[in-house]
Amino acid sequence: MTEKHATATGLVPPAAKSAPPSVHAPAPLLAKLPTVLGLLLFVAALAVPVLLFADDRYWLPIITRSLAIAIFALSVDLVWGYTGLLSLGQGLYFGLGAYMVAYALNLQKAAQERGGAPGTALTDFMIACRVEEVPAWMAPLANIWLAVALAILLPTIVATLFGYVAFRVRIKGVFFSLITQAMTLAVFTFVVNQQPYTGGIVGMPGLARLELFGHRFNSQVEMYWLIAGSLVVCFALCLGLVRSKFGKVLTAIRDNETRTLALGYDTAMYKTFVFAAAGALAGFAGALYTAVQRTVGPEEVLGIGFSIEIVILVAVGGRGTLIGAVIGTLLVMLGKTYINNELKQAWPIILGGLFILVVVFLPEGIVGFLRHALVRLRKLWPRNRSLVVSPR
Amino acid sequence: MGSPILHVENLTVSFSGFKALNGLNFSLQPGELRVVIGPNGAGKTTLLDVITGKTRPTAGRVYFRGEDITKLPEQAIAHRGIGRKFQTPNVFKSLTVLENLSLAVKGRRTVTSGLFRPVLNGEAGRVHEILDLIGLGHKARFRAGLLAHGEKQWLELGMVMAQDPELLLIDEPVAGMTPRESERTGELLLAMARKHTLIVIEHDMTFVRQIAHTVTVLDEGQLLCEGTVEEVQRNPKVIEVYLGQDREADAADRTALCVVR
Repeated sequence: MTEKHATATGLVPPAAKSAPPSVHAPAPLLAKLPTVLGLLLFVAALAVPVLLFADDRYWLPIITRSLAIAIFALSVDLVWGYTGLLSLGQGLYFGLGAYMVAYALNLQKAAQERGGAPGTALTDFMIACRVEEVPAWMAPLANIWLAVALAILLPTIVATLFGYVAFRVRIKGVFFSLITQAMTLAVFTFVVNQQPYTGGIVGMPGLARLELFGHRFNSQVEMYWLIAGSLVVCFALCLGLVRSKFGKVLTAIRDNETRTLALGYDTAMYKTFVFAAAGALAGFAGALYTAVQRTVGPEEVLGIGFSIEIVILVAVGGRGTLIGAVIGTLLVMLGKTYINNELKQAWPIILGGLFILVVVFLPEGIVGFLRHALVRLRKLWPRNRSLVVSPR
Repeated sequence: MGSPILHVENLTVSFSGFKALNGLNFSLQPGELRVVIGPNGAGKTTLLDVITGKTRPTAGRVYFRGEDITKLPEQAIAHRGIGRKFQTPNVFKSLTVLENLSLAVKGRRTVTSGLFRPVLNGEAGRVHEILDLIGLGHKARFRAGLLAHGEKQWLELGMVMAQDPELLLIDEPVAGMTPRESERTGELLLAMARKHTLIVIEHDMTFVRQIAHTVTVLDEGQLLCEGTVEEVQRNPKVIEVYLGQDREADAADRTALCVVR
């Protein structure tokens, strides 16, 4: 290869005037340093709410819940931020995960209240609908591990099937967004109509506390660490994914799918894979969310509004930057709680207005804005000017 | 002559009645650098579209190294070793120059081959070689969206080169370039032609004379004539096509017209 190419390089290469040897990557360890420091900072930042709100029975659960939603936002960021597929129905996968764990905790609660082994005691909604015994398909879900496994597996399977079909027949752009939304609406309607098996529009309120390895998560601080730890793991996994060659292909698809295809990448397979991975992540987030909330309802997790809200969270934080999804979620979710306390009716208007503002003034979100500001700040610093102009 | 690397037989493409290509026959020997010229609407870009599988022909066949590739999907044709550089720069603007080239380097394309693997996975040598050749070594870590127009075109050429295709299709490589940039591009193409077979579509006759061995002239979807630059310029049919009064003489054609005179 080198020998063959030498003939070509023998000719005067265009503009090869004074290419500094900057192309050679820095030592691997040194190159990873910012990532490692960033992750440590991220973990450290996650400890702050516990220190500040350890005894706060109001704000700590809200922050915990927001962190679960942040995992969900990561999944939307993978699909929309990195690959450019605007899914307005990610709530479907979140909802599937949420319901799986809700079945487990609901059956466990029924067993605690009415006696009998988990999976045999009737739940509240079954009694209300005069169901005689726990359906055979639902009983095994009393096992929390099976429920969590299905909370991840089921959304993955649905997302794979849907993604494979949609991307093979090249459904794109607004059609893709509408179909994802329609599917979520269909599942929403189904869940509402199947009250004997899903709890209908009320859902499953007042679930049992999460119990893993015989340990019951009684305190909010424990719950917080469970969710925060999960967020760190999911974040690191997503980071590994988007920084890998696979992730670069996703960005290439977002920038120019035709070109990616022309380079020989089977873009439909890439899109299906990332959609499935995002489905798994969304399902996992839904499972955690239910464990925190200890209630699940179709309007809350399967409503169209929820799916759209997540897209806005990612846009506010900065699409295509994982940390942006987390920051956007925390800021908007805490803002939402605050505003809901003051003036509940105003929230949808404020959310919509926020979206317009971000699209018009901060197209790259908060993180993108901060990055640009950093570059400008460095330019003002004459000593560092060369740092900005020269490639890192 | 040996067997042609590319052979096009009776190729016809019609778009709702309009025949962009009309029974075109065309073949190419390995290692050739062929320039295709022709007035607007002659079917030059359509020809490339058909070869790469982007457009399906209404009739006719395309053979690549003796294999019928007429009905293969786009990515399968790319796998066979046909690369294309588009008319407008088509680089991935959010990726760096280095990443753009890395994705283009010939190698495995499956989903699993790229999962949790670095983008430069054993191809660093080849990528840096190309970076030097296209003269963008000092901008390797720039986002491609920030490059100047000419630099984007070189990056494009680098990406096509990285695919290491046997046949390279290049659509208007010097459109919008300064004369100096255009000359450098010519040098780059000549360097590439030693390893690859090239089809270049170009309007700019100064550029055509710089690089061309054989020129093919298309008109109304058909082959008008083939030969060296001098032969083609003397050909009365070519002169007629470029001077034809009923033809809309746009800027690009006028360039060609001056040269023909």
